[in-house]
Amino acid sequence: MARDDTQYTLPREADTRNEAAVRAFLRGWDDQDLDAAMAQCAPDIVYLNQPLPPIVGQADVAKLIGSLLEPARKVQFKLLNLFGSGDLVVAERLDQWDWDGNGFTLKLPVTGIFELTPDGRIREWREYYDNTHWTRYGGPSLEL
Amino acid sequence: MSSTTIAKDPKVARNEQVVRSFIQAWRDLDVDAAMSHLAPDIEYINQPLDPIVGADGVRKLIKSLIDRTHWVDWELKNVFGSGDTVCTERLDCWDFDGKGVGLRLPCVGMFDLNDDGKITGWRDYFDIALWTDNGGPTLEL
Repeated sequence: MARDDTQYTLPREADTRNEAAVRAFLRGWDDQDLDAAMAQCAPDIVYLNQPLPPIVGQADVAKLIGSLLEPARKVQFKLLNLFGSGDLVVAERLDQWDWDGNGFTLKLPVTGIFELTPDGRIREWREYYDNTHWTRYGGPSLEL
Repeated sequence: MSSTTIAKDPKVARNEQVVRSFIQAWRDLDVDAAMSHLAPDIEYINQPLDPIVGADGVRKLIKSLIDRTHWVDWELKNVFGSGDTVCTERLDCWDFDGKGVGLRLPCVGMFDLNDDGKITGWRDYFDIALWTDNGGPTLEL
């Protein structure tokens, strides 16, 4: 839903809660803890790596995230900006990946837009980044 | 949870309006109007390319894009700010040759603004191949 009204008001508590959910989700990646990450996701989650096809539903999203975390030696998502508004949270990041124990050879500038349900679960996650940069520095396939 | 609502921070509202005006200048293909919203020390990054720093270089790049554009609309899906930063989630629709929109680019732009409401940082996140493969001109000076 477009958000064009500059006058709208927003419940601050929901922003804080949604921001915490997204932080916990991203911490799950840092900890390479798939269950912790998935605990923040709604059953019908849609995960979109722009401009690739969307991945829909907990089972497939867990499969894809697992396929990324499994081969990684170390993952560290550096948060540059994270804030919410209404049911949205943006996370501007530098995602750092170590695939082979030789340090963070992939440093991916990326911004994720998260849409959350009224009970604070992630129902849509849209990632914006350069896919060539991801694959060039060892990023695995992002398609199932 | 309390049901308290708060009015939007006036600075955030102002910053969002500046960013909307900046984007409108692109629709109008108006380089001067676009530049009027940028600080002299503007840093413009098309991730993961090298940053372009300073109003002179940024004007050169913006002009080179606008000169090659027949029509453009940056469709705003979401605009929201916090503190000094504004997030824009967009679908940038470009017609480079007058034959219709040949490029629909999913994009997020993050804007940092100073106290005067001028843009000091602009970071766009998108798939560079999608841009270049569909007629997007060079993004380097």
